[in-house]
Amino acid sequence: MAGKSKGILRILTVVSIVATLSVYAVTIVSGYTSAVSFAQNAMGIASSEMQISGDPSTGITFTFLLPVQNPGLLEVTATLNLKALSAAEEVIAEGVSSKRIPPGSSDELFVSLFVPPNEVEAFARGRIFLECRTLFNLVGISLSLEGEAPSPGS
Amino acid sequence: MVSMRKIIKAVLSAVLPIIILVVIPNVGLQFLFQSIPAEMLPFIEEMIPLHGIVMAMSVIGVIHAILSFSSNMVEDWSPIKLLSSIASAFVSFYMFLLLLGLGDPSRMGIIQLSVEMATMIATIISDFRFFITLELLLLGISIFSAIIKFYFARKEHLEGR
Repeated sequence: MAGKSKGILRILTVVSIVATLSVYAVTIVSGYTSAVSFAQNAMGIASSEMQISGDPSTGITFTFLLPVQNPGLLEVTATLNLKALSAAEEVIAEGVSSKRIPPGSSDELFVSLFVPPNEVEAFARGRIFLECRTLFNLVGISLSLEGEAPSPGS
Repeated sequence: MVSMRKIIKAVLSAVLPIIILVVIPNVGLQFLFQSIPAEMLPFIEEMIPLHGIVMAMSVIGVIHAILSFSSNMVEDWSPIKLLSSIASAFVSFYMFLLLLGLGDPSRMGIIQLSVEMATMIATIISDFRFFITLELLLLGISIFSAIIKFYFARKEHLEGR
């Protein structure tokens, strides 16, 4: 009986140690991956420029090209979302681009957004949303930048 | 009568959490405050309550040390050992919540930081809820393991009497 209980205790100890080490390894690797890929790509927003074409009579097209990188250790899903909002926070137009980036690689996210002429007047605010998720999209960090609507020529 | 070896083991096991959770974070905080420009400190403190986190970690470190000491001073079959192990697992879980919530355990792994810059509002949201789930799993394993160890130790102790 004592031998049997010692065997059970030994298995339990091994399971406990393996589970603890696995949890900490997963936490560190995925936390690191989401943090570094987010930091790298969020800084890219500042250096990327939004192209604006058209005029209020024909509608305005916004295009945004963001180079994304994954310096982390796991695959990252990078999502870029652009929204044109009214003063009441209603969505006038929306564009999304999402890509899965393997570790150590880079890609580009391209989003185009068209605000029709009848909505140009209501267009008050713009929102850029960038998200980097990893570990089967279970963990991630996002950045939302919201400001006054850019106008053509600004 | 408690043996000298047991006392030394208990003292050493209590010293470790004091070093990791009290000494290192406090020294690290002082070092951090010396290396960061003074004008940035209020901005950082506004977003992350570093003093509060280090203070909470120090309290947790002392609790861990007491639990570890009491756990190592008694026999495996003692209910004090079982209670200390379970309490220690809960304290570890609380500390994980505290760190992932940047000082606020009720955030449950979701941190939202907003900064206003001229005409823009920047919001950073980190979603680490899955880590809380993993830590809950570890908490369950730790409690189960402590109960099983106590059960067998108690059984062996009663059979030997």
